[in-house]
Amino acid sequence: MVKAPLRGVAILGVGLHPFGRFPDKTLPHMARTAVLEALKDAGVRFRDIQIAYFGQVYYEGMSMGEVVLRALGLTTIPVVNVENACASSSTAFWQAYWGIASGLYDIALAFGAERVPRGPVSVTGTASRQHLLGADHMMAGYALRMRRYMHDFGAPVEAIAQVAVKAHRNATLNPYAQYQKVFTLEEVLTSRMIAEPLTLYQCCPTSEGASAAVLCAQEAVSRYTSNPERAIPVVASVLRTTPYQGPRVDNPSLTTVAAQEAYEMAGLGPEDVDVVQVHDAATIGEIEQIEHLGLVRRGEGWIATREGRTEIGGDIPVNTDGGLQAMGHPFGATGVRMLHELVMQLRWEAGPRQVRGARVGLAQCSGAGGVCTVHILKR
Amino acid sequence: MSTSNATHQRVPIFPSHLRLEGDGTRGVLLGTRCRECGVCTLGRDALFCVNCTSPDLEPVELSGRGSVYAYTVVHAPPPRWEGRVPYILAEVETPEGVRIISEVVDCDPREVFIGMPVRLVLRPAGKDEEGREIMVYKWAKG
Repeated sequence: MVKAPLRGVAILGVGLHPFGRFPDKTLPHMARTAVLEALKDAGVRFRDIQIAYFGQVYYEGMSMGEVVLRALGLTTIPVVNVENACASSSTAFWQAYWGIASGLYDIALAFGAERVPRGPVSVTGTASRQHLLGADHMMAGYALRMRRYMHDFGAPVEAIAQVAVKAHRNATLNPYAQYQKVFTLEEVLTSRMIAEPLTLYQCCPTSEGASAAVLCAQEAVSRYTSNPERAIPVVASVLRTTPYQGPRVDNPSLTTVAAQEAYEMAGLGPEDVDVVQVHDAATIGEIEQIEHLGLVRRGEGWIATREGRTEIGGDIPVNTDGGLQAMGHPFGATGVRMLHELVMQLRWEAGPRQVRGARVGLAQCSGAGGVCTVHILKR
Repeated sequence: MSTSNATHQRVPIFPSHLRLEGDGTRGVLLGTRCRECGVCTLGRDALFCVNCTSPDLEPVELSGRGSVYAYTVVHAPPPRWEGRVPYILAEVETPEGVRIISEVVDCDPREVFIGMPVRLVLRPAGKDEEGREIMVYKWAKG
């Protein structure tokens, strides 16, 4: 089920509001900061934008995308609000991509913002009785998967926790990250227990922040910018939902389904990927995702991690900006944040985080409820 | 208070997943089985098979037995959790091929293991708008 775009699409510019806690800032303020940064990076004005998609999860008022953009001018463009859990802004980006690829628009804005409440994250509404099961707990879900993974593949907790150590080290090189602090393996393992075997520092923080990207038809790039070489082509944009997974049915994982379509669309394989961003809400998430993406064999993600292959200097650099673990995870902003980092890497503008000679980047973003996006960029 | 009245004092957490029996402290887990591919799921909500999309579904009752497929001990409980802390949360696989996540009760967190046999038990967890006890399906060793 691979769709063919009618024309190429590139990312013209990207922007972020730092991730962290900003008690004095409103959501629109953070979102505008990211949008203005992306417009500036793209070298375009807001009145050039023909359509905008906004990713956000927690309710802060109706039509927040419109509220955010109002301050930039009432240009009457369509603005679409997108809720797809943690994959909200990567879904917004997917919509912007296909809006341009299908020929409807030449230039589009995809952005996201969030202020996540503190404490364990619940995924159901307050009217539901799901919470009575004790299972409505994002990290408990990851903990169940981690325990089973350790059982199936003989992975020690130390190897999985190494994901958090790496993430925090990468984040010290990223001024936008929530936690720019090195943690030792011992500090990660002895931090407060959340859901065994996941300790606090193996769980992404709750965060605030915003991200934005300006997308443009490849054929129109030179019309909008005097620096066309800074535009990074998007060679695959895929959104899929989960297949049935059960004890007696051997379906591929959701990420594998999405990745297979993305690789086919890009005409590339996992061996071509130079830099990767994946959904590491918990440490085990990164291990599982690099396996499902085909970057390492099933059951060997923990070995690759222990051997340092996923470090910035390794052969499969993963979550070079600190990932959800240390960059932070403002749900609605995370999807486009991953694409921001890929653009930095593929422009060779990532500074001390730069993966040398990176030409192909992949971003995988998961959302509760069974959502997955995979994007591939190629300079 | 008569026994039949007492039954009305208890309601299942989800009527589509659990039918109470007797005084409401015991019950049966309800499932749906696809006649085409054989996949079985918890609850009677499915309109089509989640695996093969067939409309040819039949209601089934689950045996109430299973074994631990995965477990965790939750120390930081989710919002609105009123049970004990820490608590064991397990994904249990039933002989019918259904995986069900709920609490394991009456078990020391140090004793739970993957493969541990468990059986269905019901425990009250709060009251509904009409003051009836909400009965939740959980697991106990054995």
